[in-house]
Amino acid sequence: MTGFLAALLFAVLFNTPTESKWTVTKGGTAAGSVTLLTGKNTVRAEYRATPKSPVVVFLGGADGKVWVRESGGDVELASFKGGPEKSFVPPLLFTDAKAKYTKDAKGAAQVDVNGYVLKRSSLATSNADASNFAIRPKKGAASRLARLSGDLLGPSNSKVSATAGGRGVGTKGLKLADGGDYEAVEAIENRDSAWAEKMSDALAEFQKDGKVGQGRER
Amino acid sequence: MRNLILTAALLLTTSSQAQLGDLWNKHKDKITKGAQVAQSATREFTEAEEADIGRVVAARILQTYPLSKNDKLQQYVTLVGNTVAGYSARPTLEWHFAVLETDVVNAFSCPGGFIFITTGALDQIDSEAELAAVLGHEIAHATQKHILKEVKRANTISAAQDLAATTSSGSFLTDALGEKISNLAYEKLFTTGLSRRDEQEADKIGVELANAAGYRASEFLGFLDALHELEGESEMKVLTATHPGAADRKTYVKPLVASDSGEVLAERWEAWTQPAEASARK
Repeated sequence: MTGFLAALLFAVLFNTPTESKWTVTKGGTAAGSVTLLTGKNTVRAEYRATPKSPVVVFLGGADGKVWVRESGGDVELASFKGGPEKSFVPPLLFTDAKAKYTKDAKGAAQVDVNGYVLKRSSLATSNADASNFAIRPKKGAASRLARLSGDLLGPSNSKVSATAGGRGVGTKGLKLADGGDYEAVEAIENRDSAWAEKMSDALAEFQKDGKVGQGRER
Repeated sequence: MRNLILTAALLLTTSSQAQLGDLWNKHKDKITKGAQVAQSATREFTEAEEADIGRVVAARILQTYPLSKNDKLQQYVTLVGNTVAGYSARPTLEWHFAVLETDVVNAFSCPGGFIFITTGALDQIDSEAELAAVLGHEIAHATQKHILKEVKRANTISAAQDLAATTSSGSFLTDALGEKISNLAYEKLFTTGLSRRDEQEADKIGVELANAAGYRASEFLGFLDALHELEGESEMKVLTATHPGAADRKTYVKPLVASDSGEVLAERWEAWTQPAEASARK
């Protein structure tokens, strides 16, 4: 029993991965919430303005750069055209000279930056695996869609191999002897991998055309 | 140069580290193993493990029904699916949407983000908003990890297996374990179904997601009407065996969409789903 408790104690103290929740306010008014995950040398922040808003994911790596997840891949903070979250979420990932940090026994408990106040509401150890922190830079927008009707599938993208593996997490090419059709699974992963480069633009145009998703909000 | 602070790791004091350092060094192996066992018995699957399990389940579904060769339809379902998934609790999951070629009316969700809908189900749909709500239902199964919960509940994966080193395939899944999961998923998706509670939760979250994405989620009621009319038909056997009755579902969905607004997009639905030859005649 002692060993078990000791194990748990060490799990808390030395297993660095943590998950914390932060409330965001501006002038006393709620402005959203952030879930912050930390890995060994990496950090991920998920911001939501309201419970129904889409999540904006910020990623920080050991090189000190902040990336923001967009459809089709991650972009550096400077290229991110998002809302005000751009000004107050990054100081949660990396110390920022403009921000004021208030600490308690567990560490940073409040961050005041650019008129926003971020307060830690909970902190726990996390089981988030490394894939949560993986940064996948967006490829160049060399292939903007002329028209959506030009089709995601359209003429094959010569830059993407037809046999390119899925970009997802997990074990690429996993095939087990359970009788399933793994070739078909791979075909879907390869198809989506080939679409990935075009997906961001196509999705934006599709949503704008139908006034749904981000196309409705902007 | 800014310093990486890993804010929520929340910096231990030097003194506490020193006090515990000796104990750590002395019993490092035992403590690490103990912590792993304690953690693995209760922990959630990692995203990578979830993806591997999802591939096994998807492979089983694709063994049952082939992929539709209608690329335009695959593309359309992918665009609508990604629009709705962007409002889910897990917008950054590697979502894969695909259409299965069969008259059977159904849709399936796998762990890790594989979502399938049959051409039989698409035949019962009259607008993009309906499709959005149906996909929202399946997305909810994935975000709420309903199949994964069944895998855990069935003790398919023991703590010992969970801790095993990766196999030659590079995954934690062995052939035997993959077969167990595949059989369990097949039973849940094709025979017994998920719990009524899980289905109800998926219906509720599904219409919420469709609505959050800007669709008129009340269109889902039209899909349930179509299912109700078809109940008893052979193409409906799987769906009726694995889901609550359409009339029951309408009863609890209706209040959720009472004050609903948003886009229906029936014309866009038609434009994307009608056969190419019909489109050319217009």
